[in-house]
Amino acid sequence: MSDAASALFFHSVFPVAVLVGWGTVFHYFDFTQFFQVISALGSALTAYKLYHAGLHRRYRFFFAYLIFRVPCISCALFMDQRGKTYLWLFTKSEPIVMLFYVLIVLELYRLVLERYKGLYTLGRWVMGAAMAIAVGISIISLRGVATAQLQRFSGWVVFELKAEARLDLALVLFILLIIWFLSRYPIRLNRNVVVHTIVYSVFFFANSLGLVFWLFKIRIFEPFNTILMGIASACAVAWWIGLTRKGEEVQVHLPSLGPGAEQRALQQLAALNATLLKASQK
Amino acid sequence: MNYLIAISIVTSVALILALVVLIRKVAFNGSSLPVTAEWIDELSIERYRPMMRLLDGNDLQFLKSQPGFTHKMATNLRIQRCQIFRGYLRCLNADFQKVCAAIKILMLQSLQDRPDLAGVLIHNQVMFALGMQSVQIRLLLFRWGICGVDVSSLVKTFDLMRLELRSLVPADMPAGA
Repeated sequence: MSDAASALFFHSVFPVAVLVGWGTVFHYFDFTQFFQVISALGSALTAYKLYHAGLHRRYRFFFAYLIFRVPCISCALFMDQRGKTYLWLFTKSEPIVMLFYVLIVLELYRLVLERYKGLYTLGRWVMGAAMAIAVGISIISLRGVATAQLQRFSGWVVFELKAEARLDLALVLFILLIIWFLSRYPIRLNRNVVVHTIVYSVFFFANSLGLVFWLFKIRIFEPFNTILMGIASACAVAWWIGLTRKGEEVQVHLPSLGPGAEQRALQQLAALNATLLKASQK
Repeated sequence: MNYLIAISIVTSVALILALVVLIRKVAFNGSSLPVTAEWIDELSIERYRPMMRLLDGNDLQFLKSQPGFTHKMATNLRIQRCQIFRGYLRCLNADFQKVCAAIKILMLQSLQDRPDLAGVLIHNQVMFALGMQSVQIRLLLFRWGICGVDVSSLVKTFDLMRLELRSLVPADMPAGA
């Protein structure tokens, strides 16, 4: 769920005062606002770090999303979330956020495969298949979403929320399928891509779970939604800490070689080089 | 509502576990060379010739015509043959996976797009996986004397991949390199 949407929900639908057992703590401390501040700060710091390290050119859509995200969360912090202006901003920003989500995932996929020209066609096939499977499962699994509690929102808001729940779930599945495909190949990913993939999956997963529970009117326990918001804000911090300039370098750990094995390994590599040379000339 | 919660929790746990396992696999793979040039050079379907006639039923037919050959002896023979056959099948599967790994490395290292290799790889991997499942089922039935097992299509698929790999390896490459 986008930050605007999370603010829309977690304030109005799950008032913090009724939290079972946590009431005393929550009475004095608004975790929702705290997590929004963390999300805004984390996003701003990540964007600054990417720019400072020159990685903003590499992660273009992600960088643009972070820049877009900061004012969105700020609006949720400083505006009346039950007001018409906030709702208007939410409905206008939501399609852009969803577009960013898709572009960031495709960007991530492109970054992984850019070093492997030989996998270009195969990568496209896999991407198409993974997209079809992910969207299919997402649409089927989220059928019959309850709309009773959505009456007070306009049809467009409800449509956007349902669309985002499906999109988030589809993107989580898409990432999983792509990682499964990559795991079948001896590909070495750089640390930034690994960090980005993990954090992004967790981020989508938390968003998707929060939205699905809300749309299906599932109340496992009240602080659960606050925990999901906490996870989303932790993702912003994880991006900030995890994405570094050094993380772009691929770390290759060769197996340890015993005595005399070096010569054999060199011969083996020379033979494989000859094979690859012929393959690349074909 | 309870079943929705249960489904959500199970799905969540499954997705998280899948993510952890896959990320670990991707983050730590590629640390060893799966095949050697020597291995490619020595690769042949000759070692699977005995396997192809191991369960064809001719031996059993012959033995059944011999005096003193009992039903119990036939069952024992079938069980023993199944065990040997499974050993061959494991070797065949391991060799096929290694050939696929070698082709994948060639694709990864190629400086240009290789849709030809991608097509061959996917088609033969699917055919081999289907063939393997079919053989496993027929093997179970053979154990009970219901039907024979024909492994020729599986070996043929393996041979196609082997030839594809051989076509990519220089002929004058020194053996044992």
